[in-house]
Amino acid sequence: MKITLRIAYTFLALAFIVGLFYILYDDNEATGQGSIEITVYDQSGTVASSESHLFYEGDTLFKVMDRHYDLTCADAQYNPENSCDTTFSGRHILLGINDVESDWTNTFLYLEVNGAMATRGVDEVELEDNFDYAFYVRNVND
Amino acid sequence: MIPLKRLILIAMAVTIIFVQEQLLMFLPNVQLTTLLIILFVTVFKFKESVIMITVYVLLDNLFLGGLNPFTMGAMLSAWMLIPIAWHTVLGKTRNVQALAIFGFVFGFVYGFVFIPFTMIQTEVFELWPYMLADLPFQGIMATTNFLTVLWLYEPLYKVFEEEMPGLVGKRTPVHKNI
Repeated sequence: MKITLRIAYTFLALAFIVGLFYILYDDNEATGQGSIEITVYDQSGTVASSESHLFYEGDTLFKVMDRHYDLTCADAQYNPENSCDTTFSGRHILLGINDVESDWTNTFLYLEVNGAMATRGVDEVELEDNFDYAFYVRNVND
Repeated sequence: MIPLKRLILIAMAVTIIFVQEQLLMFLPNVQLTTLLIILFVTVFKFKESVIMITVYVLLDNLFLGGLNPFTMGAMLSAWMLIPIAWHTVLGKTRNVQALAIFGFVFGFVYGFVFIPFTMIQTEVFELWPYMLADLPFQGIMATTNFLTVLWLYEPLYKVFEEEMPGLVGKRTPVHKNI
């Protein structure tokens, strides 16, 4: 195959992946301000915390939570990292909120928004006034 | 009965696949596994490819811990699609464009194969979240597969031809459709 054709294919493939990420990764930053309710359940299903928080323009759920909770995120090897510096394409993998923790291998944090399973993570989920967010610890092998 | 020389080659193939995967583990879904499996599948017989993939999946799951039947089942089903497709719909082609496009499609298929297994494991039976969550990773894998096969398949196959002509040349008209 000619080298020019390979280079053309390469550019097409790179354009595809850039386009895909551009379409899929919408930050869903808040366009105004409001209040949300965040409830965190521990592994036994008991409420560990339930608090209302204000959010402002440009906030994401992660930013709001980062201001009010001690968050633990996954590092590149999916080990706990308290600084939450590691991101995966700009997104955090949340492993713990205060004392409620998951270990990624056996348990994970499951997020519900207004009682329905979230289809996006803490950096991308919609942040709207009066929305309820609930975090549960789920067993992978249950 | 598989000759000893070919058995050793299968063992070496598994080692190469496994080691490169561990080395590239810090990059989600960026790997040379698909390229190498496609390469080895086009060199090995179907039975040899099945053995290679089975051992690789077993080793990978053993190393990563758990021997989780859901992960193993999904991986085994997905990787087996390569030899099955190459020996059937792909017509044993060595055309780089065809293999690269196959690699691209396989990136998405690999992710889809995991969905039913993950559904059973997590007991969350909603398809849409899985599709949406996995799409970026499938896209990365598809693009990586496409680019690595496009650029590296031919030179790697030529190494086989030059270093082990008997092994490759015996069964396949090498340059016919590259």
